[in-house]
Amino acid sequence: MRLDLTGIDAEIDSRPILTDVHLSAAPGDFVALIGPNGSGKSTLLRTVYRALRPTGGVVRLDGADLWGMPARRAARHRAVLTQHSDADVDFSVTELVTTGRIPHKRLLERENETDRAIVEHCLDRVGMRWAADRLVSTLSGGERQRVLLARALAQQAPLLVLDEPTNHLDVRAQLDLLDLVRSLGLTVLAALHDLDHAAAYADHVVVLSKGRVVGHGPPLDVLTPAFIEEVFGVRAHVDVHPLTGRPHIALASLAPQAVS
Amino acid sequence: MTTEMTTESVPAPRYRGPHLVPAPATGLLISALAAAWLLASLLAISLGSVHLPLSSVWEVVGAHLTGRAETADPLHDQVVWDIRTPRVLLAALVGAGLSVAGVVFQALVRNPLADPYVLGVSSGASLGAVLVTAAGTAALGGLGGLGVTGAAFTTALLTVLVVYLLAQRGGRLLDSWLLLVGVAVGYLCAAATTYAQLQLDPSELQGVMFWLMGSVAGATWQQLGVPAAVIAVCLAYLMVQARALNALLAGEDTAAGLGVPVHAQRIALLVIGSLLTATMVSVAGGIGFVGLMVPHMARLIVGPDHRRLLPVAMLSGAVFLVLVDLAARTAHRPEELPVGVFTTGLGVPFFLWLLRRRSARRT
Repeated sequence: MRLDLTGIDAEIDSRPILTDVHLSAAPGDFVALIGPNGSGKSTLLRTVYRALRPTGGVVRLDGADLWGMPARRAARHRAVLTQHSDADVDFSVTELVTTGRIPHKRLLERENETDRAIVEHCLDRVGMRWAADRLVSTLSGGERQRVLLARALAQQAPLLVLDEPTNHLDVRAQLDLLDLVRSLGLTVLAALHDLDHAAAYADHVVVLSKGRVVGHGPPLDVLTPAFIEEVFGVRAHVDVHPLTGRPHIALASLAPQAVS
Repeated sequence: MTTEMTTESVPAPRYRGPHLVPAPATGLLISALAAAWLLASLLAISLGSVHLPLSSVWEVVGAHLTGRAETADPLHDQVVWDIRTPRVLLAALVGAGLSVAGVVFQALVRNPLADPYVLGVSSGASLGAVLVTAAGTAALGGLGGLGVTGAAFTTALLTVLVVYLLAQRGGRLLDSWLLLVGVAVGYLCAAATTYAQLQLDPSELQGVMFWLMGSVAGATWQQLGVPAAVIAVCLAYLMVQARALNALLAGEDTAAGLGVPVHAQRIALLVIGSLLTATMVSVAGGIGFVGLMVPHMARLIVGPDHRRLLPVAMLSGAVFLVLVDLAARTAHRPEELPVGVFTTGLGVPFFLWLLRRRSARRT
């Protein structure tokens, strides 16, 4: 599924957060959205998963206006995984993933064998089928995030929106989750905190600063040391990761430091 | 080759689920609760401050159910059919209504420790009742004309309206604000109630205590229709929207991602929860903690899926309040204790246990 954002403006409490944002993702692309805190990453994603209506501009999925279609249909086209939340921990894993079928169900329609098969399949894909019977509250942070990803997959949407999905996860869970997302073959739009993750996993990066796009393109073209210093206020060294062969970014503060 | 075939054809194990009562057995559980409600009601009708032989209780009930009301002993008939039966039925309705309201508010503010009274509904109702009692029904214009029950209902809804207006921004409800504003407005109503109480004649204080402590004493058949209808309408709406309620538990953003119209749905829940609570408070006063305890017990049994939680909480609430009211009027015979004293006495330790259990699980 192709995603096109054109001229997006957004406000929160009449305060402008985004100004004239353009962004595109080709089918199967992993697009990383990066930028300092408060640059508008989450707000931009919220206009895509319909939690905040943009004051200007259009969000299109394969050419169709996302905000012009019924909410349920939009939810069959794009799924969301937000930051780690602990609100619905009393569900069993199967029950939680089954809520991903909501956009496919009419009022009072019951889940059928197809839904159950989809739920099991999605749990398989994230490697969590063994936990189908467990309470979500008994899982670790990384396991929970995988279950929430399974719920997003159960929506069977070709576009996956991720808002800092690796927050609060330990290093292994972070890399496992990104590997998993990368392997799904979906169109992905992900706000990422970690520049190194963005460089290693994304086909394209879009850089936001103060609500505007200040750079976009393949990670190595955009994330030059000079650019990183200008936008993020840190020194950077861009290299090839000795273990993975993917781009690797090492960061340091601007303060002069010496290794003693 | 053959072994491969057999391993493939073995059906996948059916997931039982981690809840005490697994989903397929929900129908059975609901039937059992309905039977428990019937038994509890019969028990509560049979016992009371006045000792009546069981045979005459059954005689009266049987006579009414078979349409031969005139054959019953008039004194027994009055006690059993005019006093006890409507009281037991009202207790069931109020218990059911408050429990469903508790489920609604817990989904609305996404905090399982919320209670139907978090938004100041019961304080608002008490204020209305006390104001009308203090000023006399002739005064206060329209408010007085509604009678004490009508006035309590009106001020309860007005309180929620004020809380909503203070807790929204551009029509969006803010979780944390809703709770805090509700508590603050509730305190203000309580202060106003205390002030109004001081203007009352000591003889009128008894009636005011009814609203503050909550009671189903003095219930009449005429009182039952409105709460029954409100519960029926609200439950029907909630069962249709049960899936959306499940999505809301995951948070506003995730629910929006699942295609649920979050803001409209939350306002609908606020209206439904307040209507239920205001109706129950206007017939029985502020009976505390039922709406906190019962949804929790139900959640421990069937889990948080609202399609199972709502009917189970409703029936459990009915059974619970019928039994607690029975205890309140028989524990200290012939004197009667306010039922709210019992529910609060049970509710506070339960609340504290819940709090400790949840914080232990979070770490």
